[in-house]
Amino acid sequence: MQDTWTPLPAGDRTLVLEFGQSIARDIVDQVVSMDARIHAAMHSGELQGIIETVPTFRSLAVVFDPLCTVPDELIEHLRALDPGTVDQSIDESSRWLIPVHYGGQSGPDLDSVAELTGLTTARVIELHQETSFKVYMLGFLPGFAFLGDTPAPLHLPRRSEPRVRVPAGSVAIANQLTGVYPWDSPGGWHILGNCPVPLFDGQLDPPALFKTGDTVNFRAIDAAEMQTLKSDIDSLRFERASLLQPTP
Amino acid sequence: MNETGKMPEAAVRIESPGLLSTLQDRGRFGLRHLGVPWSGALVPAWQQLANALVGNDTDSCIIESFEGGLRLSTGDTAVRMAVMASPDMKMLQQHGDTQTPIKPCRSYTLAPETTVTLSSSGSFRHVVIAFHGLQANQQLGSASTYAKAGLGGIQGNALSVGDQLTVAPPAPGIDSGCEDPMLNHYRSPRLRVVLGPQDNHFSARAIETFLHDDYQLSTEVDRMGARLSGPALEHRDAAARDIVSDAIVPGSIQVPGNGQPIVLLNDAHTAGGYPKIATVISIDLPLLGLQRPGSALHFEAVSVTSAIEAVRTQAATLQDAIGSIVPIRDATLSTATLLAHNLIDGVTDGLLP
Repeated sequence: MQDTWTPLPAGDRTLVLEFGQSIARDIVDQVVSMDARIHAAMHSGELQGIIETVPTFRSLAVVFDPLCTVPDELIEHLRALDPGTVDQSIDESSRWLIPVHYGGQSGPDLDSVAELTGLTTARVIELHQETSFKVYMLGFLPGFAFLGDTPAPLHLPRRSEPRVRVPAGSVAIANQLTGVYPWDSPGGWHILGNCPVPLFDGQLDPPALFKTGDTVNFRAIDAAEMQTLKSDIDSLRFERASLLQPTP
Repeated sequence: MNETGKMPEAAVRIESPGLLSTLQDRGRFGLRHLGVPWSGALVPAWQQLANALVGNDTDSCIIESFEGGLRLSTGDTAVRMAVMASPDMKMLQQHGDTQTPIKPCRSYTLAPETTVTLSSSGSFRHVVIAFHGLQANQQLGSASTYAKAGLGGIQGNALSVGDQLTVAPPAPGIDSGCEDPMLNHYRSPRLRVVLGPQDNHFSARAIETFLHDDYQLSTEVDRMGARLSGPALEHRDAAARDIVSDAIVPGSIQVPGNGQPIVLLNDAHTAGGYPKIATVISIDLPLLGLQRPGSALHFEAVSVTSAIEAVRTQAATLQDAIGSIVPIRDATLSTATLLAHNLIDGVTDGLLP
């Protein structure tokens, strides 16, 4: 049986399983699938001593308690779990339809993106909206989701001058990725629009809206719907579940 | 017990927050996959010892601060406190006109209306302060402060002037202490590392330099990380300066294009795009917050197996130290102890009808 991952040492309490060295959907699928199998084995008691796992674009970090287990023992157990292919039977991922107000003050870079790509702004929105994104990784900030792939005609390098403040909710693109900023933060991506739904809420469990492996589609909303959604959110009349789509 | 049957509450007021003072417990585990770092005490051995010294569960929340002028005061009830810090740390308690020094690794029963001041040493060395029965709100499984996402602490924030912490009145008994088992370890200039996960992004000469030359601790040390400076560590080639983002754990040593290592700590991002030459082993991470800026440190490569052996040995040493905590008898305690046990109040009350 062929291993799809290579174990790499990361100190006395973490083992990194490396699946590749690039950003690619099939690598993310392998990472998510292995992660699901590890969690299933943790729940059944088959795997012990694991504190948590951290999926990234190209690797899965397994954090363990060094008082309970050692990497060699873990690797042996993990190899026994790994059939070397993507396991479709374990799929806990969700599908989301996320409202975005494109352009205007919400998307200050929509015009420049249209100019740089030689497309109309309407076509930029259309291309972005008709794409089914996958959550490749969360990180950078709590709840920040790296989504891929942005359609090829929209691929642009990062802005040469990063902004000091990108507003919370900004939906932005760079190269093959799309991201939604959960917090005001510095950032160098091209901002297409704004999503009024909080991506991270410390009062909820789980606090982050997305998890790695989820599918995300965007839906253009107008300024009026943006306002309605914002006031629903402010008055706690908004439920995350209203954004969930049935899984096919 | 008071008449309502509840334990009476005591309070500690923050008169000055000093430098980066936060509430921290063991940390917030299980959310790294959502981009939420562990946070938690940077010196977990001290967090556990300080809690044990005041009679708390060892996982309880403590105040973590740096030697930078933190000032606290007690209200109208006595409280029990213990501090873990470098032995030359200076802290005073003032009650009326009387000033007495506070030493690490023992508990003190502070009389009502006492002010405690941690002096500013100009370094960024950590200090851990535990109070008996300190109450803290848990959020997502931990009271640890992570202000970036508004989690834990005082409504998601670090300590600030005027914050009132609720603690429990001291249990009967006198103060206790032990030897700090970490004393020598935390003075060591040696940071043990496990090479990888991206040591192959560096030239053979860079690995040689990394393991044989000294690196100075800079002034840029906080809960996110510590920058070191020394001979530049060259990447294998220009393409090896970046990686597709990979997980970060506390201890990861990132080397950006300038070749200067950054050791990431408890509040660092959970993933990043710089190659990591090695990982500092968990029990050596406190050294970064306990030595003065400019101190020369050196990295020593160890195997994962010997790192884990060292971690297990230290866990046993810590348990032994906690088991060795014994009562302390000294003259300065008597007034505070009497006040704490309401004996003086009782005498006064006896004069009333």
